[in-house]
Amino acid sequence: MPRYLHYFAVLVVAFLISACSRPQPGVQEQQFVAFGTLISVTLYAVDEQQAQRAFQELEAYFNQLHHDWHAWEPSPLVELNQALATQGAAEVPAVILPLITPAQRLSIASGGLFNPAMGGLFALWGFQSDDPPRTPPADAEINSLLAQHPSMADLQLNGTTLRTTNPAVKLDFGAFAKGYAAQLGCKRLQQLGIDNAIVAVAGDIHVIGNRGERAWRVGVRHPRTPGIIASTELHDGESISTSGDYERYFDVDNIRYHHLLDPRTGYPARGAISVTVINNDGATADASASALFIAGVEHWAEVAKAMGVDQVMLIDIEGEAHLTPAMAARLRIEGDPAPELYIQELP
Amino acid sequence: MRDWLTKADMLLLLFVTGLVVWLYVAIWGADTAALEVEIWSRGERVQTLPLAEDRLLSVAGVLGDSHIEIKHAEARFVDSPCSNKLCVLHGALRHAGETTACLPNQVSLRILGRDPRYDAINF
Repeated sequence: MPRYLHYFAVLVVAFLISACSRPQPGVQEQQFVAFGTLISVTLYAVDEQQAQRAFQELEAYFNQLHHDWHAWEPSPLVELNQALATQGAAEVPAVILPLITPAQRLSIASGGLFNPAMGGLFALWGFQSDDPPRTPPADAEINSLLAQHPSMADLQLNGTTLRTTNPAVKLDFGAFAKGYAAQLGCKRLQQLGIDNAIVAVAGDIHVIGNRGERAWRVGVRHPRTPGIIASTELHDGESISTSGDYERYFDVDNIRYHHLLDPRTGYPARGAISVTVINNDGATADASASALFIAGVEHWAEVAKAMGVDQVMLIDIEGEAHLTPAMAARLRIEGDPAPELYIQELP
Repeated sequence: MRDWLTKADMLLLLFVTGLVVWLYVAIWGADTAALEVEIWSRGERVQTLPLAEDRLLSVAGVLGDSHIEIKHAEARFVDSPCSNKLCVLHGALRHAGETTACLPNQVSLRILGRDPRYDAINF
């Protein structure tokens, strides 16, 4: 054997060992509680000092947003609702102003299924409370509120002045604030010079950049059994939101009363158990996940089309998965047993 | 052939191949023994424990103690001083990146691994 072959073999080994060397992780993680839920933030390619500064800033920022948008504790939103109810008009605080127009647009596109003007209904059901409710409200109370038809179309925004002629309008941005906040959180991180991050506000996640050589990976919780039903990779600027009947609920006589209330009936929507939406806009993903849940198996596709979302997965009460082609193309089903899949084109 | 590939060369090649396979498994392989569970309470990381060692532990949260079990390379809440017990119902975590929380008590678990299967859970 020629001598050079030995050198060559050594070189090959050296090369292979170097190729195997463990990459520097460069991953920094933090968890904290805000918006009444667990927030987890993961950053890539930042040093520890920069990460710690970013985590502190983000936690303070989310706590501030939580306070500003709080629908039942003393807050700028509660004051706005009081002024609207008593005077029919109010100056919108700067911290709330950016929510009004998107909420109105998404609500109208959803045909009113996403209805942040129905804060009164959430309050009646006891979902505007830190303690879970124990009994459904009386039918008469629900009917009396529905008869007043509070809707986002009742609001006129002129500059910074908001007016309504419907005193039953009571704003509650709970159905899209978390998706919006996850995206705002990423924007704040970018201002701090961080380009690769995943911000998870429980059911609402937004990502920027990637995790080194690969995209960020997200698992979607199974709505009934422990573990994950599906997973996907998220790319720069994408949001994923899931709305499920397992998030906030109470049971009475084996009937589950959850927080995804149908504004047409005043009762929890039936037919779906979870809806997942991917979109480039966090507020749109969050609001449409709620609206499509309420639309249910029969009508989700037409509402998705109207709201401009084309990546949707709905799990129905039988545990079967209904997906748009765009969602089916990117989602890896992991549930065991795997759910039946139905691919449905949008109209 | 016989001229340039001796027995020693064969041994060397065998050794090199074996080394590469071993390195691959050791460094890139799914290594359950390397998984850890990270326990957070009130926004602080309180403990990081190997998933391979069975144990029961109590972690103080804002309402009281959450009871956590690590068994058969899985971690779960077995009890917590919350009213809806969603954390207990969530069941066991076993893959890197999986997470669950008892929100009322502000205690959460997260499985750590080198290349997590999930960077975040949509729940």
